[in-house]
Amino acid sequence: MSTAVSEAVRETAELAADQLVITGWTAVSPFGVDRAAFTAGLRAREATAAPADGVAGALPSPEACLVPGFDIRELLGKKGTAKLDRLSALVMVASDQLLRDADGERAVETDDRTGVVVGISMGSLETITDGMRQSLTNARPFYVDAGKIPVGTLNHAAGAAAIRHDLKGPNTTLGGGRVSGLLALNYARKLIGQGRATKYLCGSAEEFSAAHAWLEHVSVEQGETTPLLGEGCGLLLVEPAGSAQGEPVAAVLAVESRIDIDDDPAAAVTACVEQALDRAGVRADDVWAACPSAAPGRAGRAESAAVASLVPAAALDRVPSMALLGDTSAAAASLQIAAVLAVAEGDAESAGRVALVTAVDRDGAVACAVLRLLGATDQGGAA
Amino acid sequence: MTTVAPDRLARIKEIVAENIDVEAEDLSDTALFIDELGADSLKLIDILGAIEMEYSIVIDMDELPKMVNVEATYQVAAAAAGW
Repeated sequence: MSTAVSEAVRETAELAADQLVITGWTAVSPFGVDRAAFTAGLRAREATAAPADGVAGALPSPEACLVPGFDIRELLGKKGTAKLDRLSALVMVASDQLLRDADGERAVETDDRTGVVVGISMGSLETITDGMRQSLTNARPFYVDAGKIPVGTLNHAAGAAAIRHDLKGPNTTLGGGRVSGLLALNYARKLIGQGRATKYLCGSAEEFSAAHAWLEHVSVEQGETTPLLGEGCGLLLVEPAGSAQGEPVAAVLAVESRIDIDDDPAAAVTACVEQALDRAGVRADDVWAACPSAAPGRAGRAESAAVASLVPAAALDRVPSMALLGDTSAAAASLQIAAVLAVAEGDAESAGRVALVTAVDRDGAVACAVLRLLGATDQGGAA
Repeated sequence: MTTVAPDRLARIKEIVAENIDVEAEDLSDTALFIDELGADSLKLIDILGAIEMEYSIVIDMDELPKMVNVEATYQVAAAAAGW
């Protein structure tokens, strides 16, 4: 496989007005609460697994990759947070970082068509299972914490972030497991393309809890070990280049998804990537950085192998493995995009290059995105 | 009007405070949940549900409009519980 890069890839061509671009990003991750911590941790390839001592309830395995110092009341204030679920809090903290400056003032203009789309797996499992347990074990079935019912709904995180920042555009929650960050990006791309939204907060999130850990533990395929679990939220600001207010850091050239109906995840990933590259008008040899999801189990291994067989070897090493963060489930794909952008910002060579982000879920979902990096330089990592 | 048991009143105040995001020590017995403390009808249902759970009682939903402050909420709970 040739590692030569065509001249066309190096050029940062004039962007078409309707070209979707990423103009902001942040990550709440096991590396830390903000974007600066994410960038620093990622570049240093820090391990994030630690004893999950602060988590309520017994766990199937003692370690997890938790967001350090994630104190909901400290980060979001006391008002309205007494019953808040961790999943919504992760998304709300990320949305604060994306839209506000260091002084807490609004730094990004929004309007009544600014949308929010958040990819999840099954929402806040802790909230849902706590409510179910109360209903089954308390003296009467309706003796449940009524205040937690709204926060336990699947779309609470997306709604709460929109209410917090007065974002009145389309508000959507997508349940797509490990590929949901890419499904969210594609959803935002489509709705902006159709003129239904002017810009989007687009990302995905997962919370760690005992309920989540046990569900993953019992879902492990035969012969596999229980994965080390992570949590977090990756959030992007996307808008058309023609009306973009922020500096574009990457152009979204293509997003593709499909279902592996033949139980051959490698073939599904290969076909998905080839179609995305084709739509993006670039060659596999042009990929400068590739970031597979490193999902646990057979699907994740097949994904990594398929990507490795398609792109130049050097592209695979540019972005540190997502395994550093544990299996971040629904948060994975958005954190992968954040990782690509964090690496690109620290490398002047990235300007005009192509990046590939892929994800798979054990239920057969496959997705990928092809980005063109636009040479944004490191601004010190401030979100 | 039933005689007020201080420990129960204090506990109800804690429940109210927790559900409408104020500190219990800042909450007077007569401050109006909706007009003065910014609560809405959903919060009142949260309070009603939490009191039901705390004392293993059932409060008729029709009593909800009477629960305007801590004092009145205590009376609603007392009537349902037979205190």
